[in-house]
Amino acid sequence: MSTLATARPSTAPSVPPAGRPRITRRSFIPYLFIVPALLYLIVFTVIPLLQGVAMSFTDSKLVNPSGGRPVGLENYEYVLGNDRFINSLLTTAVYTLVTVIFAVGIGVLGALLLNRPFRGRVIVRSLVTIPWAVPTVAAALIFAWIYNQENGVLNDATGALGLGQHGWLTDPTFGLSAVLVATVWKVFPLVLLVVLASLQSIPHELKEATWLDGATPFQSFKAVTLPHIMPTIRVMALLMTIWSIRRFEIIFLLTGGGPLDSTNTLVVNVYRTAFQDQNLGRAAAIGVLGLSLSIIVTVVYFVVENRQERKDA
Amino acid sequence: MKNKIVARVAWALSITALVVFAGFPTYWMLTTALSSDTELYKTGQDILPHLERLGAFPTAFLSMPMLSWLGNSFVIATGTTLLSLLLAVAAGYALSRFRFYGKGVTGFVLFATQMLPEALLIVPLYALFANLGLLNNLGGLVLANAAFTMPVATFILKGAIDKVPFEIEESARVDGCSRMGIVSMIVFPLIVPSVAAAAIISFFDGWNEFLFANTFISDSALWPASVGLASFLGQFFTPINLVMVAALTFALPAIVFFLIAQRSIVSGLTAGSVKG
Amino acid sequence: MPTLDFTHVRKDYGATPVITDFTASIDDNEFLVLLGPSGCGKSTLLRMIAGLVDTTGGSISFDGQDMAGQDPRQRNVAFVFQSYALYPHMTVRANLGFPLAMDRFRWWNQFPVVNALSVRWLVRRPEIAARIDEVATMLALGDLLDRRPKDLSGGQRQRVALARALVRDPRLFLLDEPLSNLDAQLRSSMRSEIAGLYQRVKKTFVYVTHDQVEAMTMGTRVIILNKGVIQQIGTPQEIYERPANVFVAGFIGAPPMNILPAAVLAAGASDASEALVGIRPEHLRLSTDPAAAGMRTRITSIEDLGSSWVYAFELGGTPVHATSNTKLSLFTGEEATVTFDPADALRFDAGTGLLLSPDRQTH
Repeated sequence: MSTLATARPSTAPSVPPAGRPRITRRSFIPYLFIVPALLYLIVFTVIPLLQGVAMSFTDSKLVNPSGGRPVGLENYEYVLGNDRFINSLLTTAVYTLVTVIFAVGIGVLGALLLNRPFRGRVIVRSLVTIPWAVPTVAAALIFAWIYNQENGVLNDATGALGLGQHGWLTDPTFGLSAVLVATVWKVFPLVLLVVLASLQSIPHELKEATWLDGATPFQSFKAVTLPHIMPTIRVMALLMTIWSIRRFEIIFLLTGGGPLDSTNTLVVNVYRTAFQDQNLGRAAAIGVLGLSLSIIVTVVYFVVENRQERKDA
Repeated sequence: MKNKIVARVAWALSITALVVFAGFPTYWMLTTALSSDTELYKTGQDILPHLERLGAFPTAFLSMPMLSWLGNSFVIATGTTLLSLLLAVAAGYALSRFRFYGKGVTGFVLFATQMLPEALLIVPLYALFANLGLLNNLGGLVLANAAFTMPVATFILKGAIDKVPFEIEESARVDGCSRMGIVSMIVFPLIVPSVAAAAIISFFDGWNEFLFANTFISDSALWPASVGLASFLGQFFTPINLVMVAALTFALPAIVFFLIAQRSIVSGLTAGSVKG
Repeated sequence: MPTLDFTHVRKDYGATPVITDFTASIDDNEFLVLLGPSGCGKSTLLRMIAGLVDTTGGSISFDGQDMAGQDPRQRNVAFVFQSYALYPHMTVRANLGFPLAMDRFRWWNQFPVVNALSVRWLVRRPEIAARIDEVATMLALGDLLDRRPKDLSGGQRQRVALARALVRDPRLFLLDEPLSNLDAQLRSSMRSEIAGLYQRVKKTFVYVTHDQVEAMTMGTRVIILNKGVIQQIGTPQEIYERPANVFVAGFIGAPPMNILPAAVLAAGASDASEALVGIRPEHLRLSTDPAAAGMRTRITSIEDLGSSWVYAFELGGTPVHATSNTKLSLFTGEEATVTFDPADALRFDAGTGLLLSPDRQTH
């Protein structure tokens, strides 16, 4: 016997598509999975961060880290008016800008060069990966030797070419450039590999379609390839920017912030203020300002990105 | 036709320039390691490496406390990897499968910690470690490193777990498998390549790490190779060829593994974030 | 067994309702088909029966026992997934043996590494190996036991999924659109295999699909869902001959029932001139006789299906289909007269869509 349900044309709102089902049990198991990691992160990053911020408002010194007395905005006032700080801001800006431009530039160019198959491509790609794999300390050692004023090969080369021999790491005119070359060398492979992966994911049919329409390689590039890799390039540019603001080891190991503070970026400045000047409060203030800079950059990036996406849509 | 030849030549030149730029410093490490003291400091280094002198490596190697340094590096790197992976598997699974309060916040915190400069955190962490008695202690280093490596590993593993069809887990539940069983018997074997990529990244984060090791370890017997090698910078009594032997030994494992695993590392890192 | 009782079952995802007030009673050993378009909630309902998803309200009972709080294993159900959900890294043998191994797991077997090794060991135990072989033979999988799922064809994977469902001798079989990933030929052969399985096993089956052919040929009882609301519960014949509303009428049948305003068909519109009239394509008669009485129309297209012909035309601006088992001397563009037996027509309320008449007795 059929049961006719009291059905009417449904007035219920339409059902969401099946999507990926999730476990929505109201149990505590998800928390068991995530809490250790989260707690761990909070203890080792968030709390020290907050402590660092707190420390920036004290006159804490290295000999007695926790013994600082509150001094309000004194550290900030000092730092913001301090030539050394302004210099470190400028140095960071230059360092970041040049690194991003060259790392992304060389990375993208390299990816484009490697995009077509050729014999030995695997070898070339492996060779290009090496700078990324080499530990920073080892890289610092070899670059220091290359840049060595008496015996380094760079001076041998420039001397032979008639460009004179210089103290690449000791002369304020060249210090920053020398560090920049080492930096770009170290970081461009990641850009290259990521952009290459993006290039290789372009569906071949898109390019074929442009060829059928009679486009030149350059037009094809502009119409199909470039739009496809632009998002990736933008992400890598952002990453490079943030990492440049953060980067410490290669700079500190090569020049220690000198010569004459020409490579004294924000983070190097923080370290030196803390461990050489032994002034923790001031170091923390510089660090907070540097972090704020990173945050501002990221926010600006996301705002611009959103506006771009809205324009595309 | 002429355009094509010009383009071809330009391409070949560019590739060569790229290879030289990327490869020269490492090549130079090898050459320097194989040069004699006189060549280095008096007459000028030869461009080509003297491969016949490779046999002298072991003695050179042993004249420094390299074994102890490498051993410490290995302990730190392994510890960092194990801890990071353990936390990352759990966190990655939770972020991939569960719906829970604070999920967005967690994702954000994981991402945001990647922006933090270690230089800013080093002082409070130093104080924290001093209080916990974790200074001068390889275990303490592992704890510090893992905090910074774990988010990347989580990101990679979450991407991999997202790709495991949820119906397979449902099937296991119908078959009577416990949650822990599902994660270890069903999900884990299916994400092994990504686990390997995450493991390599974590391992070499720990292997290469310098700042924390330099600041927290005062006992030179506990120095990892990164700190040991850095001690050569700026001092002049160890000849550079010996330093390069050490540096090469330090760099070699990283180079080898990254070459082997580069494809899966890049795909793990870019999962979902590369458009297209 | 078992009988299934749904009492006001409700499911919301956050603020969005997915299933609304689902109430039904199913006898044991029925082959119940949950039929409906994509997104109507039938897969969700199936998962609620299995215990994979919690109900937001209402209850589901097996043999009178409320299943709330019981996980899938405790409910002793088998589930065949749309994508088969075979474990890719295990052999067919391990796939089949997995549920049996889980039955024998103690608390200390659950730990990583121990668990994988335990499964491997248990699968070789005589009782389990015997059962695996038994089920594999039943579904002609004997040669494939040592292969991995990726080495199997779609049909073979389907059979492994069925075998895995059988292996534990569950009391309830749940199937989620198992045939939608197969090509047409394989689909019809697998349909008979599943139907044959049902006959052999004599347990309750609940089968989810959007394909009304499967529903009508396999089901003993069909529940039609749309947007989470039950449209009709009945046997395939009841649903075909006496659809409860316009939705059901239009969903069942290929080509579907023609639904037209009563005024267009001038079919004895008694009171509600806003009524809708439904008439199945096979009940429409076409004639080329210019003197015949009926509605005039022009044929817009003809489909030759080999054993039947489908004629498309328009009445009152609405597309209409008629089918015939004999070839009519009609060509596209020609004029024809359309007639039908008023007894074959069904009337629906234009506002609610519900069936108004006829009150024909079902057999």
